Amino acid sequence: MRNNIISSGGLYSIFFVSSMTGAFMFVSSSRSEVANSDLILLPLAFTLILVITSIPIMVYVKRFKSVGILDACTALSPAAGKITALLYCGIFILGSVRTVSRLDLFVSSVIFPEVDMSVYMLVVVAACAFASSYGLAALGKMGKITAVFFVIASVVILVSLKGELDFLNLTPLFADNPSSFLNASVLTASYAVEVALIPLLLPRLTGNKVKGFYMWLLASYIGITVFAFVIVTALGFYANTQIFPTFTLSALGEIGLFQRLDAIETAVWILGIVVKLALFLKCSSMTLCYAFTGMGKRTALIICSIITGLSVVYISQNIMRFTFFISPAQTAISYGLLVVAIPVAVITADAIKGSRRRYEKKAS
Amino acid sequence: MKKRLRSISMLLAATLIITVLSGCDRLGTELVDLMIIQGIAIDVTDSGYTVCVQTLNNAQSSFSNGENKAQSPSLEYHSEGETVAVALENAVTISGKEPMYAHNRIILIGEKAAKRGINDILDFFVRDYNTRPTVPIAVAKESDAKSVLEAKIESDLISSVVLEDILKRSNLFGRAVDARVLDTVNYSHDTTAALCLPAVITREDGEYKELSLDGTAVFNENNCLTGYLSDDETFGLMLINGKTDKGVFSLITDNNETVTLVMEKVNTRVEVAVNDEGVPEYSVNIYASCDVNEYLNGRSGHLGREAIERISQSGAAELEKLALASLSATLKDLNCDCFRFGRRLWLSNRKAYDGLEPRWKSVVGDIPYTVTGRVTIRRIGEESFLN
Repeated sequence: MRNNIISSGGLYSIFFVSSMTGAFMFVSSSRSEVANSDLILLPLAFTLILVITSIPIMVYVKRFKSVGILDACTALSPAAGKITALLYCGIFILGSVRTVSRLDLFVSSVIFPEVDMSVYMLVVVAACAFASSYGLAALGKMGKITAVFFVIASVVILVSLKGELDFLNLTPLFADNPSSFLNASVLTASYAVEVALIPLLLPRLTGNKVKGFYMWLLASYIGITVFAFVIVTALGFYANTQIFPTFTLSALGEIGLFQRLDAIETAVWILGIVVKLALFLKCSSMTLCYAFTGMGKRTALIICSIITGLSVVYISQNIMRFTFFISPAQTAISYGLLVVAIPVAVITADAIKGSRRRYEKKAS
Repeated sequence: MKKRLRSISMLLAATLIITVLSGCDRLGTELVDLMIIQGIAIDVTDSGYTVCVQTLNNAQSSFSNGENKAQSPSLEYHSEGETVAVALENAVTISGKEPMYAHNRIILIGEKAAKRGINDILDFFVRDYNTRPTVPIAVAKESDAKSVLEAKIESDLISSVVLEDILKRSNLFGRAVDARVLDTVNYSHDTTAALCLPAVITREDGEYKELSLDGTAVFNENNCLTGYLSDDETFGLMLINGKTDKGVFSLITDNNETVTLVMEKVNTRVEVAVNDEGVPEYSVNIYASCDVNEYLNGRSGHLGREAIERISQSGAAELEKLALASLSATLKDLNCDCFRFGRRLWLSNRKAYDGLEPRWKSVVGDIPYTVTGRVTIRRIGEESFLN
């Protein structure tokens, strides 16, 4: 049982790793310019969006203390509990597929373009499924260690780029249409679907949940802003031409005899993906078990892993299939459902039920 | 039992990863079968491009003593194609070896190719996963790139290595612009700035040839070669752009003393102000901290306070002269903005920039500017002290 308890430090470390992995794996798209000073303001904007949109979750945490969101839904209606569990499962499988597909895109675009990396991606999914079988406590500890690695690797890369910064690569703020900045902020915030894990794992979460949440947001904001600043000033317009600008950035760095520090980034990046994916697979299998009472934990984990693996192999063959997984509609709907709609619905239903109960008590 | 099963599965996974997934996709390729590219020379034909790919001669360096004097340390492969990528692929086919671009030291562009424009040349080096963004690019002045790369220099030297060293060293001392693939892309996409690349030449040196830097090639708004800057104009360009910390220059003071100064630190500030007519005015302030490396006054080498004062003033005047010469050559003669003046205006006064940007080319030659130099003497060398 202790294996399935995670400290808030561990969970928010995984969240931090997930945000930094997102920054490391930042895919430049034709939708918005990368080499633009707006990119430096983007973390502030999406952090504010996260703070605002997470209010329902924070209210939920205060109100329900240690009751998980699935149990709260089931208390309102057993069918609602199962449907919510299935929604969680589906969206976290989507998140897993997006994470592994990005890795696949990276490896097959930048590292080994001539090689079909599908088998390697299946090995990664299998390894993450194996890691998740160790339980939440182990994942939390792994998250903390990985977060330390991320910080060290980031500092090494950033220090190595000191001489590359050119302030003439900056641009006036909002030189493009401000609405594209707003769209990019909403889209980037919606990638942080892991926030929805807080009410899901509430019964298994120890420590200060609210303080840890804001600490995570602050750490991610600082980390991503620094990377954005260095991308804009060191790469300039060149960042627009690169599919993975952060990786290109690390390829520029050198310290003394050591050149091409991209190897460091690749290593910590894959480690981060393993941690994030293991947590997502664990949570999707937990919710699948919840939806189908009687299904074994192992069976659920295998099912979720197979769906993720097969989806990744399917997407790998065509770049257009990947674009669906980073499409604003898909990510925004997923985020809106899990982070805003479901907690708001549960809080509202519970409040109505509570007031009705009080009314009935008074009446009797 | 469960523990043992876990250990066995972990061992199996580790074995699988070590044997199948470690190393790179070239795991089965012998070193001699790799085409370790050192330099690429690109020229144009009527129908496309010719490339000369200089590679390490792996057979030469695979001898037990590390080298075989009978063979050249490098090999050159030539090919043609409609595009740079096709021409390079054809060179690979000729060699029969697997190309390795990651070790490429230089991309050399022939003058004709540079005049035709470098946008189409660049795309392969930006897009291909194996090429690096830090590879320097240079123009073969008044010749084709192939003849520079294939120049017969000392037998145990590789021209690409020599060229890379020349460019690095010269860049450090403000004599060659820093033009890597990354910088080239940035300048070529800047609508107002002009791309500048170092120009290299070959000189006769007895039996062999000597590779040398010869100023800077300047490109117009279409990224086609439009002219060259001299060595001193290049130095002025580097000073204004704040791209050099070191550098050596000589001067003659009012007292007819010849002095050589070594710059130890340079700090440049370029300010832009828009006047009432909406015209941007630029003021360039160059501050250099220098050491006296040589002092020739026909007598002893003692330096007094007055002499140091004179040297400082003459040094400042010399820096101003270098900067003004560079400004005049680029803005007035070549009608190009190599100083990113347009971008500086964009960052400080967007409204004024938006009005001027479409006709930047026509206004760039009339831009008013002032240059102020300041030199501080940091050290005077070992010979005596202030008297």
